[in-house]
Formats: sequence, structure tokens, C-alpha cells
Amino acid sequence: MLFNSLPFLIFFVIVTVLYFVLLHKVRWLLLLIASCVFYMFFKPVYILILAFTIVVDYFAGILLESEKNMKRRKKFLIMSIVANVSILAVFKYYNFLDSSVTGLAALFHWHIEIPYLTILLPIGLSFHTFQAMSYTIEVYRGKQAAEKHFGIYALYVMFYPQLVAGPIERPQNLLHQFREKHPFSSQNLIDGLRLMLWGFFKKVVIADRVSQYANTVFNHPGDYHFGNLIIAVSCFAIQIYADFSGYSDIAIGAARTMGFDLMINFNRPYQSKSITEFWKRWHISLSTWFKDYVYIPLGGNKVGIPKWYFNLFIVFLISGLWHGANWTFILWGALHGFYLIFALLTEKARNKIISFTRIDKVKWLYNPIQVITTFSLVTLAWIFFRGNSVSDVGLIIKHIFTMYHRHPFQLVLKDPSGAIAFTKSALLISILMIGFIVYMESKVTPLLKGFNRRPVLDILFMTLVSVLIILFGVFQNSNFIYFQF
Amino acid sequence: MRPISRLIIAFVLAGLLCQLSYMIFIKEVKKYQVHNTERLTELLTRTTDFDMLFIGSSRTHFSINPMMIDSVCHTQSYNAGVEGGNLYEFEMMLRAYLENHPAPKWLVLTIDLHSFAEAPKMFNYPVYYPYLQNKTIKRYLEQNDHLSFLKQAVPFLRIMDYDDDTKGSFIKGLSGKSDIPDNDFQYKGYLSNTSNVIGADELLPARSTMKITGERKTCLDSVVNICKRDNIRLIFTYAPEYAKRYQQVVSNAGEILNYINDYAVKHGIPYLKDDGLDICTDPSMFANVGHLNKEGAKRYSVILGKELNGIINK
Repeated sequence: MLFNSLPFLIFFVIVTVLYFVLLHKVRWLLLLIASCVFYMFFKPVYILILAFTIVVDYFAGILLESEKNMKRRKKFLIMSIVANVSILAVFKYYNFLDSSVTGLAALFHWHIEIPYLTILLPIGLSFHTFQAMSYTIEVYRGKQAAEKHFGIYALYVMFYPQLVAGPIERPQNLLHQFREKHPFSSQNLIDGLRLMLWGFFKKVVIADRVSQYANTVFNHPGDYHFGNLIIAVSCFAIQIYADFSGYSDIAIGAARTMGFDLMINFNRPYQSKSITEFWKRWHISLSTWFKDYVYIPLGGNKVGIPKWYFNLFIVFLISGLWHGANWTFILWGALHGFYLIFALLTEKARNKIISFTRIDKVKWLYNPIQVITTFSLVTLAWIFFRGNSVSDVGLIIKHIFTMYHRHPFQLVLKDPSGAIAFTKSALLISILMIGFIVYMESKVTPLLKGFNRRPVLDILFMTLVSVLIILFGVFQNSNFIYFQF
Repeated sequence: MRPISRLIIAFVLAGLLCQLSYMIFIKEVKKYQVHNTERLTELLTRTTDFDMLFIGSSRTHFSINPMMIDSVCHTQSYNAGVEGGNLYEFEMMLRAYLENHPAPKWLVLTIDLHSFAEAPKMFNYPVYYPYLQNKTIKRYLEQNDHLSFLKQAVPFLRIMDYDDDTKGSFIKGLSGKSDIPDNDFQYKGYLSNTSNVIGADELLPARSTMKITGERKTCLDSVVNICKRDNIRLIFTYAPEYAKRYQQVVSNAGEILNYINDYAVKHGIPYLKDDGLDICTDPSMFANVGHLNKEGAKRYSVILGKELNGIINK
């Protein structure tokens, strides 16, 4: 069920109303059934995969808690992680490995035939698998008691607002909330609905509009002027932020209406002044997951410098692979790893230049330079993320840096068949709406709670956003980008 | 102020603003789309008695000038070509027209390869929203899920179906512009299609396959049955296309053309297949491969008028 669809709006109203009508002791059951319905809207049979993960990790948690022998505890944890990773490996990475191995073999003129799996990737698989894994790891570490109530544990993995695209929650933050009583609160309702409205605005007004430009150019990158390529890449940078942070806002808002607090996932990432800061503001629930469960266990920065750099690089490489089974994602992760290592390697030299020129004293110039540089580097990396293939990525980068202009620059974007894909009106609306989002996000807190102190502004904000959604929304029921992961 | 009051005020205000915006939007869009507004108002709401009606896609709309037809055939004709239309929309337009007009003596149906296109059934359905008083239009919109109960109860939700280009025409309407270019004109449903000519860099239309589905056959049968019922004489035409380019890119063009031909023979319908005229190989007659320009339409309308004259005066 897509958040940006009428069935979801109906579903959301029914579930939220029922949640407050029903007695506390059966609310978990309502949410579990609702979550199953929500997930089964996509492809019903895949709920079995989710059920497998839930059963494995539920019993793993109980065994981990009851077992005192450290070796055996570790064994249980490894078994649980292997089970989870195996599901990911089969459904998400098998075909990628298959094509990579056969491709590599072909280079040596070996003909290997490995059967190809013709299965769809279960929606949100990486998200709920990681959330389930965080539970067993936390129980293993003794930071979380094993959940004895199977239904509550299943709900922890399946809670519908964050089931298919996060935020990837931690058991310490979410599990106890299912046991707590959440009386109806109009404050929660308005906080949740306001955030949902903002999320819908980002998705249907911004993301789905600029995606038309990005998709047209990225699908035929060789047919466009370098200026169109730069606009398309920038459009994708805006699209992915508006799409994913919009989803997160709707998820957090939907949970908030019922009194649940989900972790914040985005904190104005394009205002970051460095790549390190960007990763503290972008997809926070995933970056902290990798920090807690991969980077720190590898030794983090408490090791020698070469190992530290290796740790950083490997975390971003895995992060790339987490996003998708494709070399483009791996290269995207590797590029971010490289950015961070390069920043560390050049830190002293950069500081010397800054203290020599004293540019940091001129805040009005220094801050924008930092923000624009970071945004440009992140946007360059998005080419790898969005490119349809490694060769397309190479072509786009080559054409941008060589200022390719064999095809004329198109103000009104046409696809290669000559059909108009992006009109001047769409361009004008996009610029105005992006201006609005940049202004708003620089003025308000990520969860928009600041409006509670200013009722008139709050009314104006909700009115304006609702009107803009209706007047300028693109209603094509298009998927959220991160659903594919 | 209590949070719940804030919510209610915001949503009520938003609803009122949206409704107001929708009303102004429709008014300005109609003002800008002066040609569309004029022809749809005529076709779907007025009662004028025309004795010849042309129905087809944009290839009818831009190719047949009733001024030439009327002067040759001494008829009162009207061009009801539907942009992007296929047989489904042709049938709808005929039914919608007959709802308030007397039946014409002649229906000239431009039937070609794209008449069999499957999707979308209604190419630009939001254009019909201001004409819901026409019951046929309303029924067709409802049948195709374009006019839900919600959109009928809350009219401003219909604005969600307009594309950015149409939203942009709202601003053009405000600034007093119209969709008829400076050197072009409209006449009884016809719109002259610029003086542009096909250049060397003209793109071929995208390759496609048009299926002859049961649904499209039913639409054609319905048109024939309505004509029989209302004593309308039906004539098929195939409007000129540049050097049969469309026929080259539709993989099963032969099958469809044979079907149309056999259908016409079987039902005794005259079929004026005008893809072999001299003008069809003259690029200066076409704005693009599928559409005649102003001069091309003038020449073709005279030719078609003579062909029709031969049939109606038989």
C-alpha cells in the first residue's frame, strides 16, 4: 500500500480511529493485523518471508537471554544473523552474484551457467531485516530484554508506518512503546498530521515532479546537452531527498497520531558543511545502525590509522551494497568512503590554508562555500546511485566534465521520441516549490513541533501546504525510491 | 487555541481556498483554451443543427476545414476531432453530440491505425470536466474512474488530474493570451495547424503495435449501429500522412488497414483512403509526419470536399 494513495488514507483513518476505540490490551493485535494488511497489499505471499524472520529472531532472542554460556550465546547470535543475511542473499543478492560471476568468467572465456532466479525483491526487505537484526544484537549485548510476547515482537518488526522504508528502529526505542498506554491526544494528532502533510507535500509536489526530468534524462543520458545532464542530476538530488524524507515524515507522523515516537531520520542534510556532517543528517537510522553494529565492532577510530580508514571504507562499501545489488550502488558507497578518507588525509593541509587566508572569519562566504561544496560532492555521488548502469554513469560524468553539447540544450525537455517530458510550467512550479521547501526547512525544526507555540502560523502553514498539495501535486501513485531496498 | 480547533480551521480554510482556486483556474483555463472551449461548448451543450459531422483524432481536427467542405458540398458541417482520440472516444463523442443535437445526415469518421490504440481510453479526460451537464460525458468519466463520488462531491479535487502544462495555461489566461497562435484561426471546430513544414531532422513516431481488440471492434460496431438507428450515413476516411510514415512504424499496419477495408466493404460504408494523394509526398504540406499544416489542410479539405460531394450527391 503506497502512502501516496487513496487506499492508504482510508486505511490510516480506520486504523487510527480503531486504535483509540479499542481497549489497550487488544491494540497490539489491531496494529499487527493492520500491518499484515498493509504489507500484503504489495505481494501477499512475501509475508511468509517476514514471518520466517520474525520466528527465527523471536526464538533467537529468548535463547540468547536464557543462555549464560558466552560461546553458545555467540553461536545463537551468529545463527540468527546468518538466517537474516541468507534471506537477503537469496532474494536481493543472488542474481547480482550470478551475473557478476558469469561476467567475470566470461572475461576468461569460461562459460558458466548458473540458474537465474525470477523472483521479485520483497518490498522493504533490507529495512525489516536490519531492524530484526538490531533486536538480536541488542539482546546479545544485554542492552535489551528478550520479548516474550510473540505478537508484540512481530509488531516490532512489522509496525506498518516504518515497515517498508524505515526509520530502522532499535528495540530500546520501540518495543516498550507497544506496551504503553497511549490515550488519545489532540496534540499528538496535530503533530502527526502536520508532519504527514509536510511529507506528502515533499513527495507529490516536489519529488514526483522533478523525477519526470531526472527519469527522462537518466534513461537516455547520451541524448542530452551537458546542461540538461547537470539539471537532471540536481533534480535527482532533490527528488531522493524529498521522496525519502517525505516518506519518513509520513511514517513518523502516522505513528505520532497514535502516540508512538519513531526516531528522526533526516535533519536538513543538504545544509551540511562536510560529508561527515552529511552522514549525521542523512538517513540517520541507517547510518547509526552501521556505526553501532559494523563500524564500532570493527574497532571504529580506536585503532591504527590504516585500520581506521579501512573501517570507514568497508562500512560505506557495505552501505552501498545494502542499497542495491548493483555495481553502481557499490561504487556510490565507495565514493563516499573515499570522500571521508580524503577529508581526513587533507585535514591538516586544509586547516593551514584556512588559517592562512582567514576565510573562516568571513562567515557569509565561508559557510555557503562549505555547503555548496558538500552538496556538489553528494550530488556527484548521486549519479552513481541513479545511473542505470556503470557505463551510463561513466557517460554522464564524462559528458558533464567535457561540457558535451552535440545535442542542443532543451529548456522544454523532450524525450528521444520527441514527446514533451517537462514543460516550462513544470520548471516554474518546481523552482517555486523547491524555494518554499528550502525556506521552510531552514526555519523550522525537523519534526515541525515549533509550530505548537505559534497557532496562527500553524494554521497558515497547514492551510498552505494542503492547498499546495491539491493544486500542484503530481498524482501518479508512484512508488517511493527506497521501497526497492 | 486547542490543537483540534487549529486542525479544523486549517482544513476548512484549505478546502475553501482550493474550491476558490479551482473555480478561478477553470475560468482562466477556458479563457486561454478559447478554441477547445468554443468547440466543446458547441458539441456538448448547444443544439445547432449540422448536417455533416467529422469525428476522428487530431488528424481530423487539424486536417479538415469545414469552410472548404461546406463551399464544395453545400453542407453545414462541423469538425469534432478529438486530440489523441481512439475509437472509444469517437463513440463517446458521437453519443455526447447526439444528446443535444439533431442527428446529422452524414458522419465522416477518420479511422486509422491509432484509432485502435488501447490506452489511454480517454486521452485528455480533464478537458471534459466543465461539461458534466452532458450526461454521456459524465457517464463515460464515471465508467473510467475519472469521476469518483469524491470528485463529484468535492469538485476542487478534479484539479489533481490536470497536468503542469494546463496549470501553466491558467497564468496565460490571466495574462489575456489564447491557445490560437497569432497567424492561425479556428472555424467550426477546425484549428489551423501553423505554417511549419517538415524539416530534415523530423523524428519518426515511436514504433508501436496496435491490437484490434474486441473492445475496439465493439466501439466501431456501436458507431455503425447508432448511425443505422438515427439514419446517419457513415463514411470512413483515412487522413493524409507524410509518405506513409505512420504505416512504417506500426508493426501490424497491414492487418489493421485490411480490417478497416473489409469492415467498410461488409457494411457498405464508403472508404476514402487518402494516404496516396500527391500532397502526401510534399513535406511543405505537413507540420509533422501525422498532421497537415494550414496549407495542407486547405488543399486536403478541397479534395475531401470533392470526394464527399461525389458520394452525397450520388
